[in-house]
Amino acid sequence: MSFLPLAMNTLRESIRDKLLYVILFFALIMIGSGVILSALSLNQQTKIVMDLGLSSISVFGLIITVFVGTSLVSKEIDKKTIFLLLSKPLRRRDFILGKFVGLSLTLLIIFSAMALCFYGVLAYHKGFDMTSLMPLVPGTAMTLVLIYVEILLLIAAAIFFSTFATPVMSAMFTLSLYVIGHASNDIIAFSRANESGFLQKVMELIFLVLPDLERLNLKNTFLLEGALSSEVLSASLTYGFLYIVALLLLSIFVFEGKEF
Amino acid sequence: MRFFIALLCIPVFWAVHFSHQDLIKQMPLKENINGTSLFPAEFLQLTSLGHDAMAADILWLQLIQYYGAAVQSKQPADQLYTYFDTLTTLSPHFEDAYIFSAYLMPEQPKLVLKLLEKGAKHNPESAGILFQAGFTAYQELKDNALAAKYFQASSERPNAPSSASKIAAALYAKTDKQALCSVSLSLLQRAISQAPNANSRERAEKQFIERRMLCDIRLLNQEIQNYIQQQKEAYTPPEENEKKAPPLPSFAPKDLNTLVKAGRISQTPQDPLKRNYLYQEGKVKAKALPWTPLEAELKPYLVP
Repeated sequence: MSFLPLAMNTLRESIRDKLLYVILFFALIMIGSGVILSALSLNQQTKIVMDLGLSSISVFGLIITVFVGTSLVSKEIDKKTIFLLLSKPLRRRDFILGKFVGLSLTLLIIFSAMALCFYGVLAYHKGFDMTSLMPLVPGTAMTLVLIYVEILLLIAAAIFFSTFATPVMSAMFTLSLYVIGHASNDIIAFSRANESGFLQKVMELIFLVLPDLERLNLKNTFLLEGALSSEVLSASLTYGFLYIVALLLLSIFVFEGKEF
Repeated sequence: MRFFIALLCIPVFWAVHFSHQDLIKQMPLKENINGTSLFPAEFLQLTSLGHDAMAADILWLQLIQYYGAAVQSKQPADQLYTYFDTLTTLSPHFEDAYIFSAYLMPEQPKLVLKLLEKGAKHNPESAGILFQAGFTAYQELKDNALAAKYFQASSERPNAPSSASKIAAALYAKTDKQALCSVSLSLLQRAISQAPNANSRERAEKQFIERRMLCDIRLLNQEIQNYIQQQKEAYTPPEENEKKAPPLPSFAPKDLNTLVKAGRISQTPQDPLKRNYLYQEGKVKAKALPWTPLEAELKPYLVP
């Protein structure tokens, strides 16, 4: 647990970042705007409030991850503080783990604030009537858990890219990973539509290697189809966490071999 | 210095606003509400990056504005189907969108049914979508058989409106297809068993009796017509050398037993109240009911 001091330091450092509050401010405005938009929605108020709220949390979580996560490692290298850190009894793997845990905690705080705002807006929309609000809680809560796991995966990816690329490149790679991860179904569709066997194999390889973020995007399933089997849910969570572990191991592998 | 820059911002933003207004005057905003085009659903699915439901919500809001603008400007809303199709592709479980299409596009019932069938495919538990499909087929297409099929399918879904099976039964009876009588009767039997209270049950039982009588009478009248046709074909006219040809005999059966003897029916049926059907001048009728008939189509066949 020698990474904990660094994790706490990363948390303090991230929390002090003013950019975070600007993004959070916009996120809260977006979540709250569901109330205004729902007035135009003709009997679909709850759907609009929920979809807009959950999508905003997901998108702003991604933005924070990209803006903060991709500069975590490079900032230490640019400011030369990495020399100071590594000269202490701190292993390189603890540095990576500390950065990951620190940013995950930061995102958890931000995420909790957004989730609270989301439930506040939902409660306001329901006229603070708990009997109509409670049936929506399990589905939305599970969706939020999966969104957070997706964000953790993106933090791990951002840290991995920042171990060998510049912040700008890391941000581009993380965003690309998000795009490809959500286009996983289309990758397979393109692969099947392709006549070339070689390209089919390449696309299948891309599908298998890159994270399939649609497995963690079960918003529609929870909100519109109702309950989801516990097997699918646990399989989605296991997949997400295993991918995070794999990315962290890769990051440690690259960072261990890095020369300063 | 910062104060002066802030002060300078006010006239600059003012100038931007006026130049924008001037541009709008020179290049008026598009008034043709059908001029805008929608991206294909597949493209939106790919670019929404997992936020399909959100994209569908935005299209739903756009659709409401689009329809409102079309109504206000008295222009045809040609893109309604595209809107509904796209947003239901993005959010296939958006049940209200399918149903709402029937209200906004009553003049395009075939397209509405296409959307509703798409909705039924994606939402196999939904009774409302099929109920609306039945209503559209009945009201707009005037196709009783198709409407009955949808209402029947709706009645088989959980949480189906209690009237679905009764409506299906009534529409099957209206199709004039004898084979559909049994479907109609079985649906009414289901309505009896699912009746929420004694009054509804009693009403459904009366409807069942009347429908059964109507089916029997139609079947018997059909068999009488077939019998007459058969007799006409078998009839041999007398020799031509006779001065005056005798009048054509009546080909109608003497009574309903004649149909049994001819093998057209297995036995003379009785109505559900255990009374014989009446046979008058080649037509089958029934004795009046001890209540005011609910089936308008049965009334001409009832003899006081």
